[in-house]
Amino acid sequence: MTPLQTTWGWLIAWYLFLAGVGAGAYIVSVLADFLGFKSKLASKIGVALAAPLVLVGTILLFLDLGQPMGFVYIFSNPTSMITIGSAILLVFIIIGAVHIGFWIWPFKTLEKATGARRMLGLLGLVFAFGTAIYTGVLLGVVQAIPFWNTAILPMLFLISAISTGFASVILGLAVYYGRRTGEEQKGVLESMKALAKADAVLVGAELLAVLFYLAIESSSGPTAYKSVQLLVSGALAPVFLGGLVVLGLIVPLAIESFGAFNEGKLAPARLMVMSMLSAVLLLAGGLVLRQSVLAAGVSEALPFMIQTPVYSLGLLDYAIIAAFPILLLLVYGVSKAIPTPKKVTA
Amino acid sequence: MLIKLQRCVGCYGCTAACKAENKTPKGIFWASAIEGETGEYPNARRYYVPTLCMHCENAPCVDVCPTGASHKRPDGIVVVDPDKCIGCRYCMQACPYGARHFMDAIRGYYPSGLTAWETKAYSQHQVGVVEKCTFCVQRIEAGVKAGLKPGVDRDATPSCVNTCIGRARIFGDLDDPNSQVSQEIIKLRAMPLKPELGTKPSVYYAGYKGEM
Repeated sequence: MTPLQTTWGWLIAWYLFLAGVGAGAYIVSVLADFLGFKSKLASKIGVALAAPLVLVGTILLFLDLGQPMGFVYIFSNPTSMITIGSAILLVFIIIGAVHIGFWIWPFKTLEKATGARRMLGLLGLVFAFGTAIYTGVLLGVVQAIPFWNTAILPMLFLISAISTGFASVILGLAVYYGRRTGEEQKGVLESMKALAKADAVLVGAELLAVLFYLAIESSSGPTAYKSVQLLVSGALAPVFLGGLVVLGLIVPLAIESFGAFNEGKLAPARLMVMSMLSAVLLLAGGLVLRQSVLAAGVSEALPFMIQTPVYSLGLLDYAIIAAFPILLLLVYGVSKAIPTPKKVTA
Repeated sequence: MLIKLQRCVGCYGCTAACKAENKTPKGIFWASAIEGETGEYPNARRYYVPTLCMHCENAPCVDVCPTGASHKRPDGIVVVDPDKCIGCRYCMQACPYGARHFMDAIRGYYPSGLTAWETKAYSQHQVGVVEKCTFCVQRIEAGVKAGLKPGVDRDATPSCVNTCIGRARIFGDLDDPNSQVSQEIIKLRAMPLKPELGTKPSVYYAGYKGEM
């Protein structure tokens, strides 16, 4: 049995995940704004989520430090990905906060100033992409860990970030669906449908990216092969295959495709439940992806090293497996709580 | 540094000498050894490979350190400044030799807590930072100040080198082609570990031919 990567644990996985979701939500929202969605809610939700999520992630990173108070030195070495990444995160959080501050709360200056809002969005978009890609590059530049040292990892994390960003915006829209009425409610539903359709394409791409990642890494030397083995048949396989590939990608893809193909036939309430279900699964899958890739990052052993067994499934791994049915129940409960809109008789 | 593997008998004298010199707490070993066995009966044998920080010329740990705490001294020794280290552990991921250790806590060797000696000795270590072998930089510095030559005079030489019962370790200036260590590396065709990574380690191993 191969020992897992334990230098970076759950805090870092959550950090990579939250930074991804925040950046992804921002990208989705700003693009929705650019495309001129009828309901402004889709754009506002993502912008409102972006900076706080990335900030929470950064706080987790801060808590993971051995000497948190030394973070003032963090910008000292421009060759370090942490230095570059922290700068990107900082700028992104500031832009995100400005975007919230002048559009949603406390000021609403940008509501009418469409041009200025879009310029700010464009600038933020650059740093949102930077944030999402950085989480992959952080691991990608580590030459000592062959499983991470690949160009597809930043792309995979970017795809996952945007896809989980879609999921978070869809979830936010679902929460607001019940509180809106008439035309507005219709607009929310329309945005959700459009977002789910675009997300389905991304989830499909992510599935392929995961497949290519594993296929190529399995022939990138003995250490990378060990990492792949951990994920597909080793200690991480239940979480990775069950949590990410099946529940986190295939099931949401099936749900979203079903929704897209039967758009006209499905009642809004049912569509709502389906969207929420797939969104929650996608978000959980995003976290599982970060944790699996982190844990499988086996460092290349010295040539004469004997591998000793160290790892078995821990409490947190079981917790994440157990969390899926609980999340399903939660979605079911919330969906019951949403008032069904009254039928409008023409 | 040159390590002659044929001369290593696996006594762990280097590990003990390092512990005595650098006073690392329980669970932290700057100098250790990998042991294994090779061959099949009746031609089987055990082998030992002493490990430590390789003090690479192109040190990946220095490249990734966001604060500049991990840095290279003008004499080529890679050290960590504990006042600047924030414990992000990126260097541990980047090190291909597993030479770095995170001080998540200082643990004593006795169940009743730290002894008086341990309390005093461990005070030179800091919790929450990454530490590693320093080539006994304190000995080298003091020795050079006293006009001694590292690798020649014992008081300017790492303690693992001094203590080795098989004289398996040779220390000296790799930049000086006439030093004993440079000469022997050429003579014995010694190789660093994982040379393919381009890290250019300062620790060479003689008697290692790709497999043990």
